[in-house]
Amino acid sequence: MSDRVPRLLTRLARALPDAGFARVWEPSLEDLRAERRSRAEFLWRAVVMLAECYRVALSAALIGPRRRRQMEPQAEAIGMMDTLTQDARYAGRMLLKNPGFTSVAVLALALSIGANAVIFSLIDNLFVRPLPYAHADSLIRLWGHSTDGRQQRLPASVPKFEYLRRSQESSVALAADSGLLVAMTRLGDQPQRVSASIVTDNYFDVLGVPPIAGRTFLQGEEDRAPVVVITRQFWVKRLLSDPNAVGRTLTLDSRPYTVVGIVDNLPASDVGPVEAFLPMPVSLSGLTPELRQRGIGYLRITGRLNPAVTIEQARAEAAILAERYRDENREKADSSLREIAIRIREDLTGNVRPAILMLLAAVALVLLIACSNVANLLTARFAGRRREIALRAALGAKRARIVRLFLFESLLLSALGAIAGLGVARLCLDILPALGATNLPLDGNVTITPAVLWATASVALATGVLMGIYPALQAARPSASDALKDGGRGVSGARTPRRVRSVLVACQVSLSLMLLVGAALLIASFANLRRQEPGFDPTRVLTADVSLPASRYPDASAQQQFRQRLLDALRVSPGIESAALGAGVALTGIDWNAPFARGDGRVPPLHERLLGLTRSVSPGYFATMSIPVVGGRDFSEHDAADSPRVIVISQSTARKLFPTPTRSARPSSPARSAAARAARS
Amino acid sequence: MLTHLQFIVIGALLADEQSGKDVRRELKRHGVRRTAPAFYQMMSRLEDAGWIDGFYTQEVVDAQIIKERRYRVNPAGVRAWNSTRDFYAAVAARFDRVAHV
Repeated sequence: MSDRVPRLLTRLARALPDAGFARVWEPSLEDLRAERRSRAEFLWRAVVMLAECYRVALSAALIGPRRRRQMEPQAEAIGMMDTLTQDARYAGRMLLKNPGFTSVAVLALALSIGANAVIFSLIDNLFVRPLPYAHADSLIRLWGHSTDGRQQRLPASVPKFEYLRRSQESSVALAADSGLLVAMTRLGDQPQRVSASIVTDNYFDVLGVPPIAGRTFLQGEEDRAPVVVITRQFWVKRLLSDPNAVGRTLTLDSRPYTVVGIVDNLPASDVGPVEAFLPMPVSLSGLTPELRQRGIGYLRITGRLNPAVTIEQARAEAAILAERYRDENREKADSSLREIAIRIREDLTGNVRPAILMLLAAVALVLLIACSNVANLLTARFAGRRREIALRAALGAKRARIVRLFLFESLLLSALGAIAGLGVARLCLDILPALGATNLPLDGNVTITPAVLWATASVALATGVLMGIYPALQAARPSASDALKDGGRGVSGARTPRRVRSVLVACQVSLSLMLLVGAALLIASFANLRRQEPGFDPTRVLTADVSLPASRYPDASAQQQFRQRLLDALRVSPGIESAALGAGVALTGIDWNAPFARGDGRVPPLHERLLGLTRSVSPGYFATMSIPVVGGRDFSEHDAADSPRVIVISQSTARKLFPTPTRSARPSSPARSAAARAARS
Repeated sequence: MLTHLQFIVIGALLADEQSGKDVRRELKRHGVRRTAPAFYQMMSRLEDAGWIDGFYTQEVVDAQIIKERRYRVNPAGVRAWNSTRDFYAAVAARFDRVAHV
């Protein structure tokens, strides 16, 4: 047993060039085996031996075959490798001699290479790292876009999803999901909020996510079957890795659900913090069957393309189906929307791609500035060593050797900069999730992966060559007599390449200026954004989410009674000036869209109406949010379900609908929109 | 023309074929220490140069198969060794004369 070599070592040895495996590795290994050492010592020596095999292979590769035959191994070892080692040591000593210069150069490079490594890590996390779905390249998303293009990525309604699912042919199947919060009781002392998703029964099949225990949903379980699939995180954190989790009953929103399976955590960039999946997307709590059929959209559609179908074909089909849906369902609220198919990766990262590319360009510019800065320093530094160069040349050193010597210094600087830069990047990546988690679709921690390391190493190598090659070539040029003549006058008197240094400085200044202008514009935009009036006053306003389980509050009447009780209790609480209810909070992205038009004259059909954001609110909402009612009146307690439907519109909507100067709230016809319903209630 | 190491190695193989281990031992006796990979890399080059032939043998020791790389010198190697020996002998003789003047 002691002579077994791990497969990895053998694989690495097989990669030795020429006949290195059969002629060098194998006989060496057999000699080692014959020494009969302990297992641990054998393995350790095998690893060292493999490294040695690569060393001798490298040294053989660096020496030409003709010369190699003529040389003895001792001389060979002193060949190229030793010269390189000598040069590297000399470069190291020269840098150590000038700690001031070295630290300034390394600091400049560390900051710029570190910035690049951070962006590489982001690119790796966002665009390169594979999604945990089988063949994720063939997954697409279908989103609705308003005809004027102002509203994009709108979810689909149940009728539209069912129409698309029935009619489409470009995908193997379409699945849909929608997020919601559920209350879990009877597990622990306190009720727990669980982020869940209601999905179609084929959801996991379309995504290509197999269960790690139990099963996923079966065909036919889509219609409110009392089953739930949980994620690994839910299983570990909430069920404490219970080995009998599958089959357990969970009480979600006061209804019992049986855990039928556990799946691996899905990427947060795609599903958010979802921990449980319920199979009932066609019956969202709080929406009556009538409203669902009216075309209220809340479903996100995912499809898996057939093998022979391209994304362009899927897009064309989606456009045709959207038109047919509009023709056949003119009474639906979402009939006017165009359907756009995009790949899932683009769906997750499309918004941030331009920003990341811009950041990449910015850090590349910063790196260029650092390069020109250090190149300038190197030019001056090498110019000050012209006597040394002249002496070397006089002693027989070729120009190539001198250039190599200086290039080593530059490469060593960039290598030190890269190492320090990776440290800088590590620090930045630690704080990045806290800064950008809400704006970037990041999956887990952003780490420095081997791909990022390679990219950073390549950048460091390119940086080293870029900033060192010209100073090195320039320094190796002068003749001995020139150098000795100039030497007495010092650096300033030497015929240094002033023009090039001027160009470098000019580049540095212009690039810095460009970046500074960009940064100033960005800061100005940010300041403008902060000064922007949101239309309400968030000072002293607190918000809280409330979700009502459908089992306890099955109809609108029960829900309304709860809301009224809640409002009454809040309004008499000490410290609360006013309280109101609203479906979502402004600027959080939780909005409903509804088609609207003037109710007088010819009322256009639904698919010809404009689409606008609506929010159902209770009386007192405008006062609570300090939104001034500039015309007409606020909602009151008299605007109940059985009273005439009323709506409050924004000034911009008023200008669109009523070009005359009037600003009063006049009846329009989103008669059955969510806003109108809320206003009534 | 052989280097002094090649001269020792081929010299060790002139009498009979030997295992790599034995040749390494012979080198050690001449004060030349090489790691196993460096040594076998050198032997590989001698094979490439066409002076020696390498081959594997295997034997069973304690129910384990032990493979061994063995080498033998070929005629080209013998010619190269003789030529180098003559060169060193001629040079030595010349310097001997100078040394005795």
